Amino acid sequence: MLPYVASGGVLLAYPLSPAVPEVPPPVVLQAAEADASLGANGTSASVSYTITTNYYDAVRQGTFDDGFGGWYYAEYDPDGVLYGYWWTAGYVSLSGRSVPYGTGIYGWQALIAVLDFASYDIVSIQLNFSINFQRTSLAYTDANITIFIYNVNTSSIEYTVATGTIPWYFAGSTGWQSYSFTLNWAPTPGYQYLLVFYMTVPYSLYFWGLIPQYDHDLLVDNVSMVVYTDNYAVANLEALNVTDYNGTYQAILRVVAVSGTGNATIALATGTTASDPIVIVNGSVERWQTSPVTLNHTDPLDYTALVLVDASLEAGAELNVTLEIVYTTGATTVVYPVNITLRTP
Amino acid sequence: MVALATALAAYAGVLVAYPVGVTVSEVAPPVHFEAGTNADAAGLGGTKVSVTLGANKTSASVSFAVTYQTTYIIDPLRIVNSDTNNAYYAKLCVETPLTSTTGVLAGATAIIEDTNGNTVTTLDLTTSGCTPEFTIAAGATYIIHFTTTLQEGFKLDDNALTAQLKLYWSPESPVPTAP
Repeated sequence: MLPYVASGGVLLAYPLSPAVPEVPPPVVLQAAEADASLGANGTSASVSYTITTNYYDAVRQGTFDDGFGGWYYAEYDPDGVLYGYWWTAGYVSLSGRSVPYGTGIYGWQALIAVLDFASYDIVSIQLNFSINFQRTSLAYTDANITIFIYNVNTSSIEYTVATGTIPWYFAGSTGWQSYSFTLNWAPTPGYQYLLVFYMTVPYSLYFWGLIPQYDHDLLVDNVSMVVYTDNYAVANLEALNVTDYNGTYQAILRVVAVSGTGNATIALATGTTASDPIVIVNGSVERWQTSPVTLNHTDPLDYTALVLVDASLEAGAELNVTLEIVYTTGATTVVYPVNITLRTP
Repeated sequence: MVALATALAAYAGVLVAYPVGVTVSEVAPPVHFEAGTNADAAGLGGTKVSVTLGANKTSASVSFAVTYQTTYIIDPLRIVNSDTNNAYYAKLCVETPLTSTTGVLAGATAIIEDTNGNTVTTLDLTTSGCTPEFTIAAGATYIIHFTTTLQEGFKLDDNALTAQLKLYWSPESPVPTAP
């Protein structure tokens, strides 16, 4: 018997067979500084935190203990003498070698931090840092070290914190020196600011070949910019850990809903990269998702991302943010629900 | 009566055969599967999104790893109408649904989109049934995505879940389903 057809006479049928193996979650949520209630398999979380302080640190990962996410390096190396920087668990160093006088142009190096201001009802700001300068031989001129605040939107130095010189005749190590400055400055809302450690690299003192090129290191550690505020505030709160156990993914956070009042930014930061944050102002979302960061289970700096929260709330206020953590290979995307509640006493 | 019987007897034992000519033209199927942009791309935890097409692209098998919460498998497979002059009519049907033995599977869907990101139709893979009929425009390519939702707190299945789907298509509407 021929197959029945309702009309015409042509019907084709193609088989399609999906097979769906279920695997343990390669990315798992873990509690960090805030109180967290995690799902049974680490793929959902509800986080709450009561803000009890009226100050916060606008510098991220200033101790460099877990990496340098949020910090960047820049240089002017006209003679290609291999300036660079290196990180170890505990500090970051600008390193390089001079060129002999008369053979070229001396350059400069810079270590740069993106500043996070959780609120702008600022009472005062204190910048703290430690540095250690080391050089193997004499220089032709003094080296200059300047710490300043740079306004990205106006492309200008907005405030110079301190400047100093390393005399040309200095060779050796200064040892760790700690500094603290109360800034006569405050950020303007809507602008992005950078904290810059800038160092010139003079020529070597080249005297008939008898004085060699020098190698130098500027070690930087314990950087913090403590911002005192009128309202309750917190910065760089580690709300959750996002840990990658298997594979490489691009990860973002995105907002689903917000309720309550307050200001907050929420970012993802690995040991090497800090995302552009979610931005909430007076309970309204101004930016709905972070930029992506890379999770790589083979990289000790990038196998965990922190969910970092800056927030400022008035007394008695509560801010509730419903989020999703999204990670993807490009072909496969997984979405985990997360809720963050911030309160004040 | 005798005349009738005689007449009938005249036909008894007679076989008449009328020849009927049947011509069958074999043509390449205008509607066929194609691998999507993420066929054989990286999946979760070192796996791959694996796609295998039949020799004439009239059958396909797809394998992709999923985990807890919602997993999206993006563009592993496509439906292509290589006939630039004619549209065809189609349904995608579940004949054997995805079924979990542990209860972990909360949902699974196939989503068919056009290349502009517009949803053409969706199909629940956890129950038997078909999409509404949809048109495959002349020269069109449609993308098939998959999603699954696994519930936390339930054990993962030891073996991969499998389903059997059928893409039915016809040059005329409505598209029947074979008996």
